[in-house]
Amino acid sequence: MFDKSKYSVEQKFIKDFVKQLSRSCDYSYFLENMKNEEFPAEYWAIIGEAGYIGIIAPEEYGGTSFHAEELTVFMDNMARNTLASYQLMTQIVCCELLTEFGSENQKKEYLPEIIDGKLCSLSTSDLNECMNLFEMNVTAAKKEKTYTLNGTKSYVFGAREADKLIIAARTANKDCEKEGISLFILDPKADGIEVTPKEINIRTTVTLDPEFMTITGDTVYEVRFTNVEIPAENMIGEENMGGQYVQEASDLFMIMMATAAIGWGDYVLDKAVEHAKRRVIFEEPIGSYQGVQHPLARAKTDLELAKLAVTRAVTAYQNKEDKDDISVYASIAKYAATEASYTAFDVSIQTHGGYSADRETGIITLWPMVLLSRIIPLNNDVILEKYSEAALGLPEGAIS
Amino acid sequence: MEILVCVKRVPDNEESEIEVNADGSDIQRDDLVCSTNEWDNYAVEEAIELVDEHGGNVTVVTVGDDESEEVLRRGMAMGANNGLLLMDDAFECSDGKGIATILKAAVEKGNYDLIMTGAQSDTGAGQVGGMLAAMLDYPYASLVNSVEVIDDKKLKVGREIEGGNQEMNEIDLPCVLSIQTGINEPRYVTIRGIRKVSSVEIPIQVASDLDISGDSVGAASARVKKIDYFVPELGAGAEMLEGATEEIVEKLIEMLKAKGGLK
Repeated sequence: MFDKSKYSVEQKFIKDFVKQLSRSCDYSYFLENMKNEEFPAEYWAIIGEAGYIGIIAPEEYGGTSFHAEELTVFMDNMARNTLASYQLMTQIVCCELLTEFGSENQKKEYLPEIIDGKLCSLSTSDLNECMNLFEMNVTAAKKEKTYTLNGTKSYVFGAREADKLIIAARTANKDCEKEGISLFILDPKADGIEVTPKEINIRTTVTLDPEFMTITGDTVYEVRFTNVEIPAENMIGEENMGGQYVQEASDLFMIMMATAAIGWGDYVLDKAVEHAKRRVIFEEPIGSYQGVQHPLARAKTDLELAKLAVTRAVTAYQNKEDKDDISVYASIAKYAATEASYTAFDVSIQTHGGYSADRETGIITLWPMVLLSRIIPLNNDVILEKYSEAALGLPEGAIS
Repeated sequence: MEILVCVKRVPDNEESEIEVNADGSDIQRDDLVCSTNEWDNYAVEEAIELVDEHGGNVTVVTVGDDESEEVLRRGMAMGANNGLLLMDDAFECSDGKGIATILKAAVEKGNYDLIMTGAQSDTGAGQVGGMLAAMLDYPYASLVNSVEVIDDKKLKVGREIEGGNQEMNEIDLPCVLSIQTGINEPRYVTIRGIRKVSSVEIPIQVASDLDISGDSVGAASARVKKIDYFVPELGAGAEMLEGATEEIVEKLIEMLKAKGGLK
């Protein structure tokens, strides 16, 4: 699924779409939007209109029922063309949550509009101190036919631009317990919801302070809930089962993140290789020197190995293998791909030297994406800890 | 209006490195990424826009093999109503005249008001549109960059002329137009379009369906035969500038200054 010469006809068309999109919304388009702190509306409108957000969603709700493999081809090509965004991944995860766990009414009401591009934000963990999906200070207290939300979500992508927000809130049990979490879909502009831009200090030449924005227009906000009333029918699935739903959806999120990370890695490495062939020092291209050549080759090897891990995870997800196995494969893929991407990025910077800091080279602008990929939706340290317990039988670690 | 658009599957030089094969007879085709000829996408878009405005149907047709079916599906995913694959062992290695002969037979089996081709394809020969029109005895306009329907018997077409000039013509229907890039903005292939055509059965017509005799097409009838294929040596006076981009730019500026192109 990463080899273009082996694409199916449908996968070729998906690749063609991304190629065409990259011409309409090229790098300068995103750079201009980012400089002006504007959401890339045209890019988003094209993706929505073309239906790609619903690529794996059921046809009866406006999707196209393709498989995870086609989603992988889509995301890989998007990332290779620096078109992948966190909002895009989030939106697809929201569709999956509604598809798998939403009521018939919710599917009919929300899925078509989310697929058409109405922005839907997702906030699961609160991400305050511990890195646990189930750490949750946001509570939803039941009151007859409504729930009352209180608390703060610290990092929510696109909350201010969103038309809908899916959040996880604790409805029973205490902090960090897997059970007792429920999912709700609501209007982020409802009374009692305060959205504040989050200051994120990923220092690059292009990070905008105080508001953070990635090259593809992702923004991050803190969302505070004060006595927000939600009708009970806005709960997705069963009460107290949200933690399980989130865990299942995070497998898809991790697979997409892994795929995007590989796309970004290939993109920056291709640039580095081209530079290493062209840049001549001491009458030879720098790519002929082992000091440059070997790190590039190692980075490429890591990316190729990560592709195998992603392929295995996609197969497990697509074939609906055992849920625990899917989680393990998705975690391995996410870890391997984001670390390989991070290495490729570092090697690309080293190869380019000072040129890499120039935003026109299209490398440094990807830095926040690559950096965040190691901690979203799960920190790689958490993945290692879970893997230590699950696969190696080591005692439970201290970070969760 | 019934429109037939002729499309072709060609190597995608944005996705693949095009290299000459080991014996120098052709390009290296193993693992080559192929897609629809760029000009043909503009022709399909123009046909769909005409039908959207004036009614009718768009049929996309290609001469090729099993794999060529994908360019028909792409056209249909854009919005063409029908696809038609012309495939027969006898068609293999046809030259431009052979391809035009096959397409002529397909046109005569159908009932089309307008036939469109791309202005050229990967080989850059640009032969088929003109030959097809001559064989059909239809009027022909090449390098068309605008199409307007006057009535059900006439079109007004714009042509790109050397030097940036524009020529406008009236042309009787039925006719053949070869379409230039830039005539429109080809629409995106939507994922719903892809889903819609993914399981559509595309009809295949072979030589006997088209009443084509084997000796009029294919390698045997080809009067233009490729005898060699290679990357030419750099000619005298040609110089490849090498180095990093900024070094190349500096060298170029120096050269332009030295030759008087820049002061």
